[in-house]
Amino acid sequence: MTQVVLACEGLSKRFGDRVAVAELSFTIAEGETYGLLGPNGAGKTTAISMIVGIMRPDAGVVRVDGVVHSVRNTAVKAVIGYVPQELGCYPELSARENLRFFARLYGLRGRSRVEEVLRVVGLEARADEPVSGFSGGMARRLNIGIGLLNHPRLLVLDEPTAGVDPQSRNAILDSVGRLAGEGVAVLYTTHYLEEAERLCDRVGILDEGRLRAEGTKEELTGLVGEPDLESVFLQLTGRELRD
Amino acid sequence: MGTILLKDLRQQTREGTVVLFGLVLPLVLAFVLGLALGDQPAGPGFDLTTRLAAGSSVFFLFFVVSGMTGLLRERHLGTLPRLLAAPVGDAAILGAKLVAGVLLGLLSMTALVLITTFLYGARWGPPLQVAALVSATVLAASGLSAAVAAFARTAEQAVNQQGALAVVLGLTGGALFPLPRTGWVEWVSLLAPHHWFLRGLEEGEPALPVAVLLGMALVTGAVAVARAGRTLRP
Repeated sequence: MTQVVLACEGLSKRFGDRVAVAELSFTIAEGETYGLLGPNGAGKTTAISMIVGIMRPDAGVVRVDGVVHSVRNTAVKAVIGYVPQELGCYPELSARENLRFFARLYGLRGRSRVEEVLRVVGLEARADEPVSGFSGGMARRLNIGIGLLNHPRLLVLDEPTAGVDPQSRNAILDSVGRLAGEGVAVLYTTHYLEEAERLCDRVGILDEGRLRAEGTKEELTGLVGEPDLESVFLQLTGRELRD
Repeated sequence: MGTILLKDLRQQTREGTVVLFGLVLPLVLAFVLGLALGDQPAGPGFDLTTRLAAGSSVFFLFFVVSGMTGLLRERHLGTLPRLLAAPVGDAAILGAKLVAGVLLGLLSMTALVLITTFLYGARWGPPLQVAALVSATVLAASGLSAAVAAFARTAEQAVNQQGALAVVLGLTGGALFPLPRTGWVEWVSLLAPHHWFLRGLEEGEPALPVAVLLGMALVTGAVAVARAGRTLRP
């Protein structure tokens, strides 16, 4: 039986009067890729911030491998790989220096893992150049590489392909697909529904902080009688513009 | 904490502002003021060279100890979420920022004491007394600077406010020229760490100045840590 790696149970978060996330519950098993989709302001990044231990939930629990996670639980943080939406790296440092710094934060000494990750994300040739000179695609690949350093049990990617060229996007999606094949549980948010169709075993559609529907692509299209994920998404979240 | 601290020290020294504000500008200011003031008396217990060296050093110290501003820079860069998601405690992140500022402040002041002694012939006084005053002043400056950064929204805002505070406290504390020790001027000057640092050196009795400076460091440091801790994780 496949083991559940991530279990969110009734996660809720408010900012003043605004409900950012309301009673969000879902699970991700070993080797499964779960896509969390939603329009702008749906609560995806807030949900992820609670899952990776950046933000305290007002209510609800996050469990990783059955252990309750919190902002202070460094043991659980050590098994989560996090790829934030913004480029979480230092522009004045080189790719190698960035990877070394974050590797040390995860207690990884030595250079072998850093060199391995540089190969995985295809940055060996530019490893000693400052990140400030990188293209958007290269910086995105480094951003993902940092999230892979600790051999995560759970990899959380928040819109990792935003603003990258098709080649880099393809390389990123291939890498994420390979990781799931190696047993890593992957939580993936994106605006690109074709990415979710290609990558995700199951999808949750989040809107105004609430999970509107969840299932495989076939289950979701069958549920609302639409032919593809984009039509399902628009049916569930509406067609009006979001800020 | 050590990993973040080393990275912060490397980043700040690479920027070059530490060398500029922590070494070059104080030496230039002390030299230029020395030329301008010529043989004017410096006040009791102090020769003019030493007073200018000490005043210039403590004036620019406030531009060096802005370690906590690094927290705002991390937020701007998008690296703060990554630090918060890593298996390190909040105390290690905050501590590294504070300690980086303190270390750079100590390094700058130590270098300035040595260089002005050998280059300008400044006579700072007994080494242990000077070390106690320098340490307490660096801590007070770090605390004040951190408190300002903790209430700022951006790194740019923090740097501007810290700069304004450094100039106001420097002037009221008598860092650039001595102020009359009478009336409201004296009362205002008591709020500036610069006043206590210079007074300790001038009178050769560092116990009270060190105690006051450490008190300032404790209060402002506690405010900074409490405020930064709350804003770190909404």
